[in-house]
Order: sequence, then structure tokens, then C-alpha cells
Amino acid sequence: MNNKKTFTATRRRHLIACVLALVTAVIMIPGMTTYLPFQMNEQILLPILLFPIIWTALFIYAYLAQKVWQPFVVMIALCVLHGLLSFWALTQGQG
Amino acid sequence: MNELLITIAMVSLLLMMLNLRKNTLTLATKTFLSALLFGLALICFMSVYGILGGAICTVVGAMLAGLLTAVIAGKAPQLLG
Amino acid sequence: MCITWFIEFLGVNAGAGMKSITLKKLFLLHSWVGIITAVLLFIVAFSGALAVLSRPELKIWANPELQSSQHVASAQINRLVNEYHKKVPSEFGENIHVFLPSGHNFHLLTLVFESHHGDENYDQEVARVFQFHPDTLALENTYYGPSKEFYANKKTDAPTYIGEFHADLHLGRPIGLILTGFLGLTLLVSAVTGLFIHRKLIKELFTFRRDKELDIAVSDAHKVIGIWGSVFNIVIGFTGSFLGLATIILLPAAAFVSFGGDQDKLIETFTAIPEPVVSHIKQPTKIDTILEHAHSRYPEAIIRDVTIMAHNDANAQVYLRLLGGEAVASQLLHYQGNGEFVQSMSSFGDISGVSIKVIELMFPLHFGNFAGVFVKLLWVLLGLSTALLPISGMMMWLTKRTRGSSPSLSMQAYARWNRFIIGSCGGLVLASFVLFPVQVLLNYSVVGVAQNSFFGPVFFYTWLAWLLLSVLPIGYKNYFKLTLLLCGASLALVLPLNILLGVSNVINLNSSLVAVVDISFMVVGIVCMFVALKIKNTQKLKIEVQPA
Repeated sequence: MNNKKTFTATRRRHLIACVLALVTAVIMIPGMTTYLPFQMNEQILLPILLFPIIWTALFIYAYLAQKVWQPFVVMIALCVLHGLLSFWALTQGQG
Repeated sequence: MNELLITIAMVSLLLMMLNLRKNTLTLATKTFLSALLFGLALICFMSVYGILGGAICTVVGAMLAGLLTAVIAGKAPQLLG
Repeated sequence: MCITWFIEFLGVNAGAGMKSITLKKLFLLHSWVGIITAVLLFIVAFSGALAVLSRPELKIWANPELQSSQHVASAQINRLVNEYHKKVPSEFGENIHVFLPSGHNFHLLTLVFESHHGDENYDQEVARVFQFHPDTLALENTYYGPSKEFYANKKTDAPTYIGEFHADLHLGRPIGLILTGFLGLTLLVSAVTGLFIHRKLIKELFTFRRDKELDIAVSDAHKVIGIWGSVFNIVIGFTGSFLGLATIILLPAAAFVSFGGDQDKLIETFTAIPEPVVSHIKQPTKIDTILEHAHSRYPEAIIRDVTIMAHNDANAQVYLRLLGGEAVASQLLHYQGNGEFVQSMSSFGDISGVSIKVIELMFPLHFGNFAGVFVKLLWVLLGLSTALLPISGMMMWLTKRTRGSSPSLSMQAYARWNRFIIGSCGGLVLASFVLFPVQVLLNYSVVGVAQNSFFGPVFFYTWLAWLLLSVLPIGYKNYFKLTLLLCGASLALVLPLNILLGVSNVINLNSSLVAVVDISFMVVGIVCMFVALKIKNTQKLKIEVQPA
């Protein structure tokens, strides 16, 4: 098996796929509840339904990307974006 | 009556798979026969289980029929198209 | 084209005719995920295939009380509720749950009178429970104490034990649920990557060369099962991951913004059944009329349980939980106490929208319990095919590594791997099958909840013993043969044991279901033994390792 030629930075990809993909998918759930243009039921239930699809896509992407920094940047960006959205929604709710 | 409809449906699906496996038919004939047999299975299952249940059963039954056909019938001759 | 551009933008080679490097990556990813999760996936898939039939068919088989009839006349239920409501303090009439002996809940007709606010002895939710034989309606069991304890310590049986093992591997919650939930996610990854690898689906649809060498037959089997079962595997992976992770990760995450992470508050907001305002005007609650109406309205469905709020009050509300019938998903029927039908809704409560309809379908799509035995058999057969996928994949992976001029796997290591697979996966099958004759013995010799303490030790010690046997340097073909023989013998033992010791069996035909199940066990047992005895006559394996 030519792992070295097929994948670059294998260990970092494992870390991104196994840890960061899960964290990203979980953070996206509350974040998505802040911007989905549906009634409250759908805003909460739809992200729950999308979680397995999002995680699978991120997991596979972590390995398929040509460079290891690409999935890293994408997932960090998604985390930051959805984290900020959740934070703003929480502070607005408290304010 | 329900048992009869279920039997007809599964037999239709098995025949559909055997039809798909054959290489002596043209693609158009295969498509027509498959659609006919699938439709028959769908109607039978829907009569027993309702619309949603019948649709689910037809798809799942087709999967099992395909799997059984492949395992029992063995290597297929080269398919047309 | 836009999708291809977007995927290329993200750094994935997805140009015209997916580039070979991408396919190579997908193949490696498929292999890695498959190898890491193979044994666990087999365990969960096999136990799941058995669990499909656990309720109500095998549960009825396992409990003599349920065998003669699972139906109690509506008038009798009404009489019992009225009679025993008078025997409990008034606060216990807040919520009355009637669990019907349908084979889905308890093995007896169970009346639970609950006080949500406790009583003079308990500060927590407390219950007074009365359990009756479904046939004679004789009082068999009573309980007074915390509700949680009652539900946690209810009598189990072999099929229920296997069903619960499938759900959380008996590792407790949340660890067990997280593990099985993640296995659902990895099954999704395997199914999706597998589909991409074998993109020439049409050509491989019926390719199964069983007359060729074993490794070719195994490879073909893996592809055929993977292709035909792909939709089923994707659905099972998706629904399984949802069911495993919903209460542990998904609901708390979804509740984070709107409910401050309070999952209970979220569930209460969406699913709460409103408490009726007690009017203190006496009006009999027509439980019998309500049950008859539900039966006539949904003749194909099974009523699992009834919840009565403010019993015998003018504002009484009755909720019936139904399973099966044309609705596919389970439903909740709402009635007024006077028998007037109010509405039918999702079993989660009165929630509108498309998402809840999809979530409702998760359960019947995963369990296959929405339309009788035939559909369950479809689920069992496809579930067993899902269980065969990781095994065939492992065999392909191992065989590949023993080939060539400098193989990465030695003959001894190959033999050890084979023994490990037989010990772990075959051991699980043996442990599961052993539970069935043990159930017959327990029904004869041990009464009630005392049976619970036997299933765990029998199951896990059998499995452990068989796994430890794999450490010994025995020929793996003989090991496999012995496994099959013992599995077959365990199942074949059920019918004669039931004739000798059971209340219902194939001779007295007290229960046609018991007779059918016993005969099915005998047939499967004989087939296992027959296959085991045939093993020496089949084409020899390309690589056969003799013990050191």
C-alpha cells in the first residue's frame, strides 16, 4: 500500500478527520439554528438531521483534499463562523 | 389475500432482476419489462401496506431480490448497453 | 459543472472521470475505515439483525405469559383501572399508564399509577404498579417505589437482552450509545466511499463467481452485497447514527442557543403533553370505548400503551401509542375522557413541519417494525448481509497482504488474524444463539425478575471463552467448523428443550408462534451444522496454515 504517495501528512489528516471534523459538525448545529429561514421547529430539527451528512462530508474531505491545510482552514473557518453566530445569538438573547 | 399480493410482488421483483441480468434483450425491452414488473410490485405492496409503506417495501424488496439473484444465479453474461 | 468546480476549489481532484489519485484515496479510506470498524460493525449489524425480531415475536416466544394471547378485552382493562385506582392514594391518579401485553413492553398487563411530585415517603417521581397475567388477569406482581427503579429493573429476556446489546453494547449510556452512534457514521463513510470506488455498478451488479477460488468468491460477494445493499446501508448508517447520538450530542447542541443547552427544556417545549386542569366533576373515563374506537380506526396497528390523565374527571385526557399500520411511523392518538377522538399526531407530540416527519421515519426505517413479519424478514436478511460486508472486506484485505514475493503479512499472522475474527465475530454469534436454549431452561427453573442476572454472565462468558480459544494455535478452518457446529447445536436444542420443559411447544401447539419459532430455530441450526460438516469437502483454501 503506497500510503506515502497517496496521502500527504497522513497523521495530520487523521487528526483533522477524527477530531476536527466532529468538533466542526457539532459547532455547526447551534450555529445553523441562528440563520435557517424556517419556523422554530425546523430551525432546531433540520441541523440535527444534517449532522450525519455534514460529518461524513467533512471526514471524507479531510482525506481527499490535495493539501492538508485546505480542510484545516475550511473546518476552522466553519467553526469560527458558526461559533460567532451562536455567541451573538446568545448575547442578543441575554441583552 | 395479503399473502398472495406479497408473493406476487416478490416474484415480480425477482423476475425483474432476472430480466435485468439477461443479455438477449435490447435495452429498450429490458427497461420496459423492468418498469412493468416494478410497477406491479409497487401496486401489490401499496395495496397491502399503504402508499409510504408500500414504496419502502418495494425498494427494499428490490434490493433483496437483486442480491438473491446475484448470489443464486452467479456470474452474469455480459450485459448489453 | 458548478459542483465539480466547487469541489476542485476545495482542493479535491474531481475533474472529468474522477482522477485516479482520488479513487486511490477513496479506496484507502474505505479500507482503513473498514479494517478499524470491521469487528464492531459485524457485532452491531448481527445483533441488530436478531433484534429486528425481538419485539414482539421473540419476546412472546420467550415469555410463557404472553404465549396464549396478547390481547386483553377493553372492558377488562377499564374495570382493572377503575378497581385499582380506588386502592391507591389520590395523588397517584395524576398519570395512569397502561402497558398492554403486546410483546413490546412488559410481559404482563401493567398498570402504573404515578405521582410526579412524590409522596410522604419519596421526594421523586414515585409509582404504584400492578401487574396482571394477560390471560387470567390474576394479580402477579406489585411494586411501590421510585418510578425510575421500576423501569430500570423490569424483567428482561434473551431477545430483549440482545436488542439492548445492539443499542449500546451493554456499556451503559452515554458511552455505549456514542460508540454505536459513531459506528453508524463510519458505516455511512464506508457505504459512500464504496459506491465511488465501484462506480462501474452495472457491470458488477450480478457478478458472483462462486465456482472460482474462495478469495474471488469473497471479493465478488463483498461487491455484490455492497452494491445491492448500499441504499439500505446508507439508511441504516444514517438512522443508526441519529438514534445513537441524538440525546448525547445532537439535542444538547441544538438546544444550545435557543434553550441554553438545556436538552430537557427543548424536549419539554416540543413534546410536552399539556396537563389537563382537574375540574373535580366526576365523569367516567371510557377507556373501553376509546380502545375499541382505536382498534376499528386503525385495525392493522398495535396499541402499545395508554396514558390516562385526570382519570374519571370531566377533563380527563387519554393518549394511545400505536405502532404499525398505514402510518408507518408510530403515532399518538388523543382522546377526551368521554371517548371523543381529538387528533392523531406524531409520537413526539403535536409538532408541525417536514423535519419531524423525517425524524418520525427514522425509527421504522431503522427497526423495520412498521408492517408485520414479512418486512421484518427483509430487514433481517439485509441486516445479515450488512454484517457480512466487514467480514468479507477483512478477508480481502488479509488475503491481499499475504500475496506477492514479499508479503506484508506472514502465514502465522494470517492464521492468527483468522482465528481472531472467528473468535470475536463467531463468538458473538455463538453467545447470542446460546441465550435461546438458556431462556427455555430459565423459564422452567427461575421465576420472574430473577432471570435477569443470568443473561449477562452466560452471554459474555460464552463470548470471552470462545475468544480466548483463538489464542490457542488451532487450525482456523477447524475452529470455524467447531463454531458453526456449536451455533447450530445451540439453536437445534431449543425445540427438544421446549417439548420437554416448555408450556407451549410443537407437540401441544398451545401457541402457533412458539411452534413456528422453534421449527425455525431447528431449521437454522441444522443448516449451520450441515454447512459445518460440508467444510472439509469444499475446495481447499489457497492459503492454509497448519498449527505450529
